[in-house]
Amino acid sequence: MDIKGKLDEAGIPLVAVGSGSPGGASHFIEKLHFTGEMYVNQDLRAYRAFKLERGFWKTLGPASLIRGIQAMREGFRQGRMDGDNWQQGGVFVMGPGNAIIFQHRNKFAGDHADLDAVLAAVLRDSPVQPA
Amino acid sequence: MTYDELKPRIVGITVQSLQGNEVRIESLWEGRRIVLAFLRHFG
Repeated sequence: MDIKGKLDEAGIPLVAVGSGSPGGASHFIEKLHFTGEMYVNQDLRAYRAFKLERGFWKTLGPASLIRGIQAMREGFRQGRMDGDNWQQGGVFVMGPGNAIIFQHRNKFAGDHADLDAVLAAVLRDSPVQPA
Repeated sequence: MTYDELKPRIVGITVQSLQGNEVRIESLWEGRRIVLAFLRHFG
């Protein structure tokens, strides 16, 4: 079972925020069969508030290029981009209320969070545990 | 970053739903735990 399935079992919503347009988000949802909640933040204020990285070298530096080549070898192909090319992402486990349970800020393109660590954080103290 | 450090940074910050509604970002985790994923871009 993938992480989304485990989140669903635990009753934990996956909420995504993108830097592109609502139309781009809708296309993303359809193309990738995304079933979480989706929002956009085109002025990037939310990204800055969470101190997410942004910059040319964060996107096209050596580490990013290596990850990009690896992704291409696995069959990933970049489509038409909608959003800020230089903005990096991140993953946070938040709440309920005033709590940050987990945080990962991508240092460069392709620097993804450890999903096992995300899931462990999600389930910490959770009354509902997946099977 | 602690939540105390984040809290003043997200005052007034909203995200837009796909229906065009502005939503206070902190409302996303009010009363619930969520995985909040900031994406690089679509496509």
